[in-house]
Amino acid sequence: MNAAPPAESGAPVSAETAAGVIEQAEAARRKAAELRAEWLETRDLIAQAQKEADLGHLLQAVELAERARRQGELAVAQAEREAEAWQRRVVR
Amino acid sequence: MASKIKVKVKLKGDVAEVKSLMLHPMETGSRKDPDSGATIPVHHITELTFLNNGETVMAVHCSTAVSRDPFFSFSFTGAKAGDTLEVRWVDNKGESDSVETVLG
Amino acid sequence: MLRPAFCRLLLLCLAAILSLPALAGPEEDREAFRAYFSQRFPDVPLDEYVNGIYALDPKAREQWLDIEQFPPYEFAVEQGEVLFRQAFANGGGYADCFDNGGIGIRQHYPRFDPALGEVVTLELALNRCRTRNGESAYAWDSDELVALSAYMAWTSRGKAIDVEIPDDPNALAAYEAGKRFYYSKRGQLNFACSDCHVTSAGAYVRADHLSASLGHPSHFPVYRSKLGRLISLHSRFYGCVRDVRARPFEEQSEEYRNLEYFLTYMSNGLMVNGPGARK
Repeated sequence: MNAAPPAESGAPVSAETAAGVIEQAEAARRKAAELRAEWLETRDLIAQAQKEADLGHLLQAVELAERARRQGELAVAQAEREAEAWQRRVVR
Repeated sequence: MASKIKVKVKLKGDVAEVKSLMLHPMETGSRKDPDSGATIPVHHITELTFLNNGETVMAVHCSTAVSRDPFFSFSFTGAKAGDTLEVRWVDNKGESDSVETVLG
Repeated sequence: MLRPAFCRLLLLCLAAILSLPALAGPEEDREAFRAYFSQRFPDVPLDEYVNGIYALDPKAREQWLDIEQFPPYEFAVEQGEVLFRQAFANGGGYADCFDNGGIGIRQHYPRFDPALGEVVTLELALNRCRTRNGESAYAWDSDELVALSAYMAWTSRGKAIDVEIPDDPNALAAYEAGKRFYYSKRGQLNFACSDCHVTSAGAYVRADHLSASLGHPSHFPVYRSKLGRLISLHSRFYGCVRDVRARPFEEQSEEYRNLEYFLTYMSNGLMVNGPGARK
């Protein structure tokens, strides 16, 4: 999937910012992975974000990394919720 | 290794219902190897013939539209117990295979 | 003489204790599973569930019966037999690694190995047999391993699935882990196995008609028309987990082995009818 074209608003994204978001995304992904709850495309999104960052497309990099981070966070929340929720579905 | 063509025939009066399953990759030549990216070369049956007592009862010209390990089924009249049905195919590489079965 | 109020209290307590549901064990789970589907599909005999969606969808069943007249898995079963009979370089064979020489024993898998503390599937046992005898292991999704599994399933056709949970806390833990996996939502689409194969069994997900989990493991490995080859149960697990957009675990991972353990136990009593054919 392609990132959105760069928006011409606000301050430009710095390389540090992009790196930071990518790091956060990876941390979130790792947490989800530890819970055995990682989603399908999270690591691909992070890889893509890194590629874009390496090319200097920092806005795209941040957008992709934020999506990946969100996926990681949602996956963790899902796993934590399911720790109890699964019981309710058991056929009794 | 067991034969690469299987054939079963059901005789009802003088009508023979033929079913045949054959192993063949039937490569279209459009697929790419998932690891190397190289195009997998064309390799499919071109002519498939069914002969009853040496007489052609079904001739099939195959191409890329037929999928892997093809299954063919058809009926023909004028069959009787003791007839010999032969199934044979030739592919684009010049390879061939055949099998015979006796009806009834 | 006891006071009437006290008598009543005593009786109430006794009634409450006697009516407490026993902590559900695997047998209770299995009975509840069967009862659920009996109630959902009252016209479908329990024995039929080994035929998956063909137990629930008459039109699909017709097409499947047509295909079964000339089963596409026959070649794999034959190849499997040839492979099974081939001796290893050290002179040993698969028959040395299994009860009854490996013939007609598929219905007892997966089994729990108390010494190793883990679930051993048929595929795992086959590969371990190879490596123990100095052969290299097959890839889990290789044609060879699947053919061997198909042959062994074929020799057990008609036998009742009979998976045991030995009196070992680790065995029960593995079963429970599989059960938890089955009922837990996962992936971006937030589905549990049960969402499709219990709650929505018989319903459609896009163009696919969902089958019930009861009977699911009976017919593996399975010939997929879509793929033109046979696949293993764990290959199917992999696909399902990917389809709900979760990162899939690898074939023969602990997760899938425990899941297979739970699922197969749920189908205890139903007939092995592998290898099967599906679209």
